[in-house]
Amino acid sequence: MRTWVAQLRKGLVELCVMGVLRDGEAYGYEILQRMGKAEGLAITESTVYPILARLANEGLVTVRVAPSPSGPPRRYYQLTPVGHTRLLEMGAYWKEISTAVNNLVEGEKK
Amino acid sequence: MNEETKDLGSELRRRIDAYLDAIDRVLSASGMNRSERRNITDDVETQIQEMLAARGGGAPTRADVEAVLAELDLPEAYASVRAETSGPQRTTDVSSTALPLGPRRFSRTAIVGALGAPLLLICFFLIFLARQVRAPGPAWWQYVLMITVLPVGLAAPFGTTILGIISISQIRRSAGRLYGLGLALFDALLFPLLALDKLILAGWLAAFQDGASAPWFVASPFVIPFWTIVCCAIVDGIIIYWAWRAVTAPPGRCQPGAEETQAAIQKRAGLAKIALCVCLGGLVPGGLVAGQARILSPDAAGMAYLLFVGCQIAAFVLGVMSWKDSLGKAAGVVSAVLAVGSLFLIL
Repeated sequence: MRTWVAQLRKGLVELCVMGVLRDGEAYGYEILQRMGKAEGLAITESTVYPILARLANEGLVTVRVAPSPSGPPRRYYQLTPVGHTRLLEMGAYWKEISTAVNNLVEGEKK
Repeated sequence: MNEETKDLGSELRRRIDAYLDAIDRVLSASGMNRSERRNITDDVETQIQEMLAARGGGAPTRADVEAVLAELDLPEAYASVRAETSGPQRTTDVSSTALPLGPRRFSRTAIVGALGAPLLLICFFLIFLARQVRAPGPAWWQYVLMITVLPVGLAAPFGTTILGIISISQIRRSAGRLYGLGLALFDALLFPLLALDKLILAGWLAAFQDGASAPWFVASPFVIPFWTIVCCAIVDGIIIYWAWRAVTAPPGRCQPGAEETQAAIQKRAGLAKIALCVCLGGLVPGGLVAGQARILSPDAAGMAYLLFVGCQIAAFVLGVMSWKDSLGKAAGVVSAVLAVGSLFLIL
């Protein structure tokens, strides 16, 4: 069961990270904290930061470096227009597949 | 280290740096490029500082740092995540990251191999000195030099090349514990490329031995050396470029270009457009030479020709760099045909 949960979470991290950035920019630790607040989505930094780096490399997010009062500069991530489009596509697919899975697991609603 | 974190004690700073270095090594071993690794370690460092600041109580102590690091993932966690979060085309050999993380060190094999280049020069110098001495017969020390230095000098190119290849292999299999890939590649390529350059030089000298039919071509003293140097630079550059791409590709990856990003594709398209513009721009001085060579002075015709060739060479290099783009391929082929074709028209 634990393995299955872990695999499921990992498959959804990218969508969740982009979902956190939907309404505006956020820095790495902030994204991690916001995701940590979502029940059942306790994801650690070794999962989130590599995904952020890859999204930046793929041009789905932009990075802005700004000074921080508590230490080294913060790296703020923001969705690009391409990233927004990708998020919409992923969101639509997620709705489709979650409905299909719900129907299978809980039975068709009449 | 960031300026803002200088107030951390040096010991605590070292502890944090060691943790970040360990993450960097794991990511490096899994084939991630330096820019992405830097982004990740910067984010982790920011998180550490934020967590330390959140603990309050003034300057952080060793216990604070240890407590914060204990809350974070182990560096090894970045290896499995890297493979799982990558696209389907990435076939990184994650098993190599399971190796224990020791201190990083420069490849000794690469250093020993690099000694071959100066060794060969020293050998040539000593032999030159020995030949200068005039005596009734070879002196005893000349025999000693012949027996000791000459074999070493002759073996140096082979030794350097072999050690270079060995060190490249060792570095790639070391899971980030060995570095010095640049020096290792230098060892492996130095003497083969020098031999190739010598071959190109011999080829040009043979081609120009009978002279050229265009009077301005032979009148310009810099045309033949220019062509020779440029050809060597292009051939060497392309070989070094492809060799570097091959040795820096993550282990186990099927094709060097397999993990292409949108940014890389856009960059390549831009290069291809520039290549085509440079190629077409070079036709202006080329046309001038072709149409007005008789009324131009030899120097002016020579300069125009060099400009034309220079543009075609630049376009060819840019075309090769953007070869996967159809425009880049077209620019590369057209510029090569124009540059080589112009030689056939002249000779």
